[in-house]
Amino acid sequence: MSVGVLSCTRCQAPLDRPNLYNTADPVSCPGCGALLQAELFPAAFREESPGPQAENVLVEGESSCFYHPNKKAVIPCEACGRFLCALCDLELRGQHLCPACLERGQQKRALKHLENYRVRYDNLALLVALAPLLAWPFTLLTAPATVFLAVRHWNSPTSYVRPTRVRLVLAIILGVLQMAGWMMGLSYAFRN
Amino acid sequence: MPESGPEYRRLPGRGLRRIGRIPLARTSSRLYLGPDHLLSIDSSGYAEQYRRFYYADIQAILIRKTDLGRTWNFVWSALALVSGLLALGVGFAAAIVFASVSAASVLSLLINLARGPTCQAHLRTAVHLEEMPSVNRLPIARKVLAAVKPRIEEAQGVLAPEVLAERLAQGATGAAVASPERAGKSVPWAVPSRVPTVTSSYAGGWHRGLFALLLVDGAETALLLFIQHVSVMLLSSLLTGILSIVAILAVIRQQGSALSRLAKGIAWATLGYLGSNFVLGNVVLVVLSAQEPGIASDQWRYLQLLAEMDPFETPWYLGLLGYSIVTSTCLGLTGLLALRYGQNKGSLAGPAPPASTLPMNRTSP
Repeated sequence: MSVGVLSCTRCQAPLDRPNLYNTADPVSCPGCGALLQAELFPAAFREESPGPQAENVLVEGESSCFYHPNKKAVIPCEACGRFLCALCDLELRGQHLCPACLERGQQKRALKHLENYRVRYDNLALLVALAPLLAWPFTLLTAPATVFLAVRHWNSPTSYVRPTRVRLVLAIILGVLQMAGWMMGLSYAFRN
Repeated sequence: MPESGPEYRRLPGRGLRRIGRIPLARTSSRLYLGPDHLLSIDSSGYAEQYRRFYYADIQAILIRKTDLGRTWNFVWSALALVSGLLALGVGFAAAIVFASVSAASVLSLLINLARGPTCQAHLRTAVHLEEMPSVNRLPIARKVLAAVKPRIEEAQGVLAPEVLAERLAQGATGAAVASPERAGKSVPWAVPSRVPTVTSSYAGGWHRGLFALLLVDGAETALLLFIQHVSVMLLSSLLTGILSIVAILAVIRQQGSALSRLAKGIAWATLGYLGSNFVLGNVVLVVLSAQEPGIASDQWRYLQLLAEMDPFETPWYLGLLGYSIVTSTCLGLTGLLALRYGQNKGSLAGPAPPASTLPMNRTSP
C-alpha cells in the first residue's frame, strides 16, 4: 500500500504528523512556521490498482481487437462498433470508446466532459466593438466587423458554465449603433 | 439557445495564472463547483481552458498563508505617507495632486486590509499538482474549502483521525520493512518549491555595485541640500540612470543564483524605489509646469529650476530629498550587510543539479 505525506510549499518540510491535517484552524509548519491548513482525503491512501492487461488470442477464429490483432476482443466501441481489447477499451462515464472515437468526440465537442479549450467568439465580438472606441476613427472598420463576427458565430458555443448570447446581442447593438453614427455623421458632412 | 452545460456554481475568488515563462503574461483563473468535479477555467479574454478535478480523485488540498498582503500594506502605507507629507508643503494645485495620490493609496490599503491575508492554495491528485490562483485570500480559501470538502467527502468518505494517524505511521515504517534500500527514506510529496534551485554561479558582483551606488546616491542627494548648482543636479540624473541599469542587471542576474532572499529582495526594492522616484519626478514636473509653462519640453530649464530651489525654503522639495536620502542609504546599507552575512552563512555554491521533475515521491511497500 502506498502512503504519501504532503510537504510545506515554502520550506519543503514533511508534514508527517497527524495533528497537521484536517484541522479546524491553520497550524504552523514544523519547518518554517508558516500558517498552513492541510486537508487530506481517503484517496491519498487508496491502493493503486494495476492497469488493464489485454489477453492474447488463444483460439483461432476468436474475435480480436481492431487495433491489436493478436489480443482478445472484450467489448465493442459504442460509437463505431470496432472490437476492442482491454487495453484499447476507454471507459468514460459508463461509455466504452476506442481511442479514435474518443479523440474525434473531443475535437467535435460531442463529449462535453472532455472539452478543455474553447474560443469565446462572444467575448471577441464584444472586444472588437469596445476596444476601438479608444481610437474612434477605427470604428468605421470595426463596427461592420463586429456585426459580422457576432452573426457568423451566433451558434458557436459561448460560456461553458453560463451559456448565454447576451454578449453577442450587446456586440450587435454596439456595432449597429456605431454604423448608424457613422452614416449620420457622413451624411451630415456631405450635406454641408 | 446555446447548448446548456451541466449545472455549475461559481466559487468565490479570482486570480491570475502565469503562462509559461512569458513575463507579465497571465490568464484569469476561476473555480466552479460541478456535479462530480471541480472545474477550473483559465480565461485569456477570447479563449478559455478547462481543467476538471473529480472529487473522487482529489487527495489533498493545502493552503498556506503568504506575506504578499503585508508587503502591499507596506507599499500602500509608504506611498500614502510620502504623498500626504508632500501635499502639506506645496501650493494648492500641487497639493491636490499629491493628496489624490495619497487618498488613492489609503483606499488601496483599506481594500487590501478588508480582503484579508493572502494565501497560496494547491490541490493534489494521484498524477497532478495544481495551484489554484483564484484561492489567493484566506477568507476565500475558507469559503472554497467549506464548499468543496463536503463534495469530496461525499465521493470518498471521511478520513477518521485514527485512520489518518495509522496510515501516516505505516507510511513512515512501511518503506523500511518492504524496501530495505529505502529504509529511513520516507520521501514526502515534493510540492514544487518556491525556493529556487541554484542554477547560476553568479556571486553578487552587480549587487555589490548596486548597493554601493545607492550609498553614493544617498550621499550625493545629501549634497543637494547644501549645494544648489545645476552640475550637482546633472550628476544626480546621471547617477539615477546608472542605478536603473545596474538594478535591472542585478535583478536579471540574481535569478537562479545562491544569493540570500534578503539581497534579492533589496534588489527588487531598489527597482521599486527608482520607479517611485520616476513617478514623483513626473509629478514635480507637472507641478512646476503649472508655474512655468514650457519647462515640460525643456529638460535643461527643469534641472536649472530644481537647482535654484533652496530645499530649506521649499518644504516639499526638502521632503523629497529626505525620502531619497533615507531610502537609498537604508537600501544600500542593508543590501551590503545582506550580501556579507549571506556569504558568511554558507558558501555561494555553484550550480546545483536540476531538481527532480517528479512532483511526488511516495513510500511504497
